[in-house]
Amino acid sequence: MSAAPGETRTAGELAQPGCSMTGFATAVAGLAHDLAVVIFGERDCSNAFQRVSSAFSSLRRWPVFTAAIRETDVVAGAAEARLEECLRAVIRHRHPRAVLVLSTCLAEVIGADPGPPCTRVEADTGVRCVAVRTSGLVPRTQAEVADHVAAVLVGIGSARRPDRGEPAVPDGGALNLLGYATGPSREDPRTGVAFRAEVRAVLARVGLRLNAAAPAGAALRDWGALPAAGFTAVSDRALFGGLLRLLDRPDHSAIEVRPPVGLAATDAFLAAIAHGTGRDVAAVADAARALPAREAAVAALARARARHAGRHVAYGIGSMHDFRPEHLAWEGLSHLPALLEAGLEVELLIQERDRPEVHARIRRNLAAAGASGCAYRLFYEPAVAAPVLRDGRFDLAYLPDFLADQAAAAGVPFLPFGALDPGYAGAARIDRVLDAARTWTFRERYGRHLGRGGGDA
Amino acid sequence: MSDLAPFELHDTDHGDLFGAFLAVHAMPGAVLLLHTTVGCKFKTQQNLVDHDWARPSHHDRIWTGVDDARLISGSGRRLVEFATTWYERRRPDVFFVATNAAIELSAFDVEAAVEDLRARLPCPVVLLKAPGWAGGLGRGYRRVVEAVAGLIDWRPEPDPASVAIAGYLFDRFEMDHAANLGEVRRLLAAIGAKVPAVLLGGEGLPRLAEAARAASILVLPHAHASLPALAAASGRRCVATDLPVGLHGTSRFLRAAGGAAGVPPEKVEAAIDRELSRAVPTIGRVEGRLRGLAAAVCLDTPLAAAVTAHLAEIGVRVPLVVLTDGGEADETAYRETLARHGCPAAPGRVIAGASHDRTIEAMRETWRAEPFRVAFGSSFQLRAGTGRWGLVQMGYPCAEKHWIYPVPWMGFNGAVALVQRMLDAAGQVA
Repeated sequence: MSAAPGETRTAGELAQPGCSMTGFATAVAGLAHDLAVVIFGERDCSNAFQRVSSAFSSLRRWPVFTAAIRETDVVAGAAEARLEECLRAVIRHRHPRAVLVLSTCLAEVIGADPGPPCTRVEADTGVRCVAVRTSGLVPRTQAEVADHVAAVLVGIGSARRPDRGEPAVPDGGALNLLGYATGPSREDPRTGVAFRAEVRAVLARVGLRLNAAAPAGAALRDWGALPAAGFTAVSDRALFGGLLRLLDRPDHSAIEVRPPVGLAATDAFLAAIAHGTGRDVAAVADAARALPAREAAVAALARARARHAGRHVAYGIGSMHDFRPEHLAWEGLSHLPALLEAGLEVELLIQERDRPEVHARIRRNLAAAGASGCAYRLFYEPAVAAPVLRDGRFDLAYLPDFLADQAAAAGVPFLPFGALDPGYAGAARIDRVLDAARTWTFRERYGRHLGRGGGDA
Repeated sequence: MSDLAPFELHDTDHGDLFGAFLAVHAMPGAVLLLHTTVGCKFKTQQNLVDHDWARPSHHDRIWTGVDDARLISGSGRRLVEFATTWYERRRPDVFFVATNAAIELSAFDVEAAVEDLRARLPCPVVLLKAPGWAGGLGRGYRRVVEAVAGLIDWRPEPDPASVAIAGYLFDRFEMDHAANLGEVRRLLAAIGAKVPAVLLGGEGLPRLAEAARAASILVLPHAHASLPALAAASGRRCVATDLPVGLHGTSRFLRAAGGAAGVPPEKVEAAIDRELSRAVPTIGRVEGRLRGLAAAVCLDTPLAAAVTAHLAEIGVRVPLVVLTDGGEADETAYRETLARHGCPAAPGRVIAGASHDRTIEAMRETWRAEPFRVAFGSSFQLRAGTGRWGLVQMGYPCAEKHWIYPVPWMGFNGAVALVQRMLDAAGQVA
């Protein structure tokens, strides 16, 4: 699944570019109790990440602050002083382990440098203050941002306290998971836990322990623990180039293993880890076969094939804007194997402009992801996906949730991107997931009454 | 005030941009061109997507793709090209062009580009500068309402019996708003007044232009600050009113509307009396249960005042009020509104503009001193009270309360429905 030797791939080039401040804030806002985040911009910039409905929104105390740069600060050249005031107040009242300062477009435009205030406050307080030059002035791929976030968090999380001595040599019996769906999923909050438990159970049989998993579901201590493992399984090397260079030491190996979404993909995932860590591949396969979840997955796949094989699925990429590596890996194509093994006929629906250079980019990425055989069609923005769905005569649409209205307008049953969970536990739900999207009695019985504007005020 | 307070986040930290976006979202056929850097896409749509399940908001805004290279080479040309292309694709009724601070400080050709667009496009083009250090959700919304008033042709002869409404904060296409507007229209019809348009009420610019048929405009609190601008643009009589919430609040609103529409007072009073004779006995059935209740109120200033007044008149104690509209929170306006309502019981503690963290702290402190079983607030207060108090989710954001069935909180039916919801919330805690 990796790119051919000598071929380089730029991760995230088929996804929406974004503001690096938004990506950083989205990734770190939920790391409560560990980290304070200061957004070095106008107050309104503190709305540029997921606040309304996220783990962050339900935190009792919000660990994100704003330097709240005012017009007067801009005019007087006082933005840096304002940041320093903010940092000192945050540290005095909240006692964070570290403070992450995220620049914004305004800070960049006025040339306000967060570095000197961070240095001064860190020297005075002993609390680490890390300034990151982020902004939307230069849109970044989400992959770039995810990698940058990872490198910064590893740096903060693994910073040694003076009393802790030298860092340990990476443990050859320990494995990291990097870039997989190891957090709670939208469908089932237990997903990440179940997947980690599966991996832990199987790999324990060959003397390998799960050290840390990131970014999904990770706390700052998980990031800090990454350098302690001798092996890192990474979903997509191209996503984490910077981080892997940080982890690169003689006693550490990074193994690129495609995300385990689907039964065969999960078998392959575990086998590749066993192979890459020099463990007994057959023993791992035996351990996997002994898992009740795998047995359930085999049965679920048979049921899914019986009911859904041959159905025409639109698989959407290029629209996602959530900065989550588990969605970005292989340009969002890592769930493809689960649908293909269920016998569905998949056609890609890609949010892109119809230009020659775009087709070259798409073909290059599909080839790298092992999906050259997939046909694709384009739509240039979310508002016009419905006609493309209609033209494709699809039986099912696997698309980011904000395209649900387009699927409804086209009369295509909808399955939100991310509904397919990893591991055997995820594979054991494939029939139910597909059934839920397809066999909706309500829509089949009453579909002709829908679309009469009943939902609008 | 702690020296951390200026840097903490509030339930709403918006500048004008999000308020303008809400207003554009409330007008099908309008498009907001974000001539901003890319993060503003999140500042707008991402903050609404979980609040409005009924109508997608990402179609209402378009990012012009400004980055540092385009700023250097002149972003105005990009704006003109982009908007012209998009006009052909979408044929919007009106374009709003928003800029942020970074653009204003570095792109000096935007105003000229907007002028160019006005000459090229057959639809109105409105420029809204929205630096993130100024304004707020309410002001951004008002600026669009004022701009819409400026686009309406007010020359037609008005109908003295017609009243338009301005300043209705229509933040989603769900059935709570449909029910509110239905209830207000029903009540105004009952006193003999016609409502040709609500600014804004989920209708597009052509329909909003019907406001010109009104001889008067009832200006709700969210647009009180716009009253002079509305009067100047329309040439109509503009009457400031409070929200039609609660029994007394709705009665006062109808009297104001009747006055504006030239309805004889006795006709208004007869209609109010008919409504009260239906609503009051319904609430009266649970009067004894309400008398022992206490409720905290964490809402924006106009809504908090309206809800507090309603609670007070039905005998519910209000030990804590937090005005959650960030920099726009106004304790004076809150207390003046209560006074206008003749509110018989002043709330125990009023906090204006507290941060999110301090709001939660205040709720917990107050609960420990004087346990309340109900709170009125947004989804940001939802989990803070688990096991302690039940939440009547109102205002923005309501990410975890959605309405597919029409239940108002305005008007006499809304007064009854709020009591129902409060009893439901109280029942969630032991």
